[in-house]
Amino acid sequence: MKQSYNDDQHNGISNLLKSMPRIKAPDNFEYNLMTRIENKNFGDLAEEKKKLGFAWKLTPAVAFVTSLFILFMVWTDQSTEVENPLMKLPPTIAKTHSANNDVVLSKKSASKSDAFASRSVSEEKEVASTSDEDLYRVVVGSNDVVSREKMALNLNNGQNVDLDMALIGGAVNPNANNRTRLVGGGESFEFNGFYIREQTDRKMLEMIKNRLDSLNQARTDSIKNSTNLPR
Amino acid sequence: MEKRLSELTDEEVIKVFQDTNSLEAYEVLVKRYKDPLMNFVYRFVGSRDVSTDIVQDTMIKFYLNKDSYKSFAKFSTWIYTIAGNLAKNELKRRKRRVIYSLHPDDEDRTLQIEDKSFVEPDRAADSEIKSEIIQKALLKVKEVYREVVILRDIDGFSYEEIADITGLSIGTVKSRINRGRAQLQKLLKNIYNE
Repeated sequence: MKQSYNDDQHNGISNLLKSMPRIKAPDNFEYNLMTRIENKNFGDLAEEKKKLGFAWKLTPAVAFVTSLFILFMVWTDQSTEVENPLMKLPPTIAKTHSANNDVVLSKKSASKSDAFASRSVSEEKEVASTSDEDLYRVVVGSNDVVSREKMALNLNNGQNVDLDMALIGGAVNPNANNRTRLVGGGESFEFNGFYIREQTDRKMLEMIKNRLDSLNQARTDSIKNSTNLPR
Repeated sequence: MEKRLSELTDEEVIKVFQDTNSLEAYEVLVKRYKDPLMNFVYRFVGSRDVSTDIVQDTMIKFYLNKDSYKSFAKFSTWIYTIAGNLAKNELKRRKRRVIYSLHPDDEDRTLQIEDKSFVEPDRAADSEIKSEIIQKALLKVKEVYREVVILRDIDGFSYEEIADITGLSIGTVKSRINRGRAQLQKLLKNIYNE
């Protein structure tokens, strides 16, 4: 059971404690103390002081090293942060295109490395054409002198066919500038990709053919009739 | 010189000791504090021999670490802090060896001293035995309470000074003094009722 105390009771305890006799140090206390000091008989207390002094001297260094370590850990942690692949934006088309070009170029250079080895005097870097009429190639000499040479293509101009001209009964051989090209129409050809070829239905073809034949027959009949009409 | 030193305050004497390393100044302070410290430590640990050793160590520490004393603090609180820490260390050492039948950490436990067999009432009238009873009761009080009760009621320090010595807040000091007195009152109810 808890007892409650009032101030008088506490004062009573205080008075009781104050009434206790005072304990005094032994008579030889000072003599022993001064003897210890003169003999430097400090026991563990002197070692404690040395330890404290040593630690105190090291404290700034320890603090500095610790702060450096913390900074290093924080900095390293930020630099090695791994990007979440789910949050990563996909590469742009331009980047993909340039990357592909890089691959092609590297493949080119790799494939040409054999040719470089076989050629002792010059090496072909890139084929470039300045106009539709002439084709040139860049040649890098052994002394790193870059020169441009005209390319002589082994093409038979007589075998080139201008289909449009052939259909309308014109000249078969096109302009020498357009050699090796299939000439068609006057507009630029736009490639839209490949399409799957559908199988032709024979019945449908027969029907269309019959329809065309009947139309032709009707046209010839009408012409005949018109000519036979009495004037 | 000694006469002059004895007329100076504690803070002035230690300043002389710090500046000149004068043993005379040191001895003046030893003379002033050996008995109060002895009384304080004895009431705290309950053994004369151990108390003498602790006070000797306190004075040696004071001699070795005189420069760690700063003038803004009172010398009395500084040296009592040293003595109190050494006394607490001694009690910790003892605790490792001695198994107490009483659990001083349990505040709610009813503290018991052999009420009637402890001392007969007629004998308790004798002041020497009475002080012995009080001392034994004091040693049963929890350490943290005992220290502040001794500093307040036996050595007569103010709450502020006790806060400086123990490193506690004044509120905590007051609370601990109150609890310590309450525990002591329970323990001393036999002789206190007389």
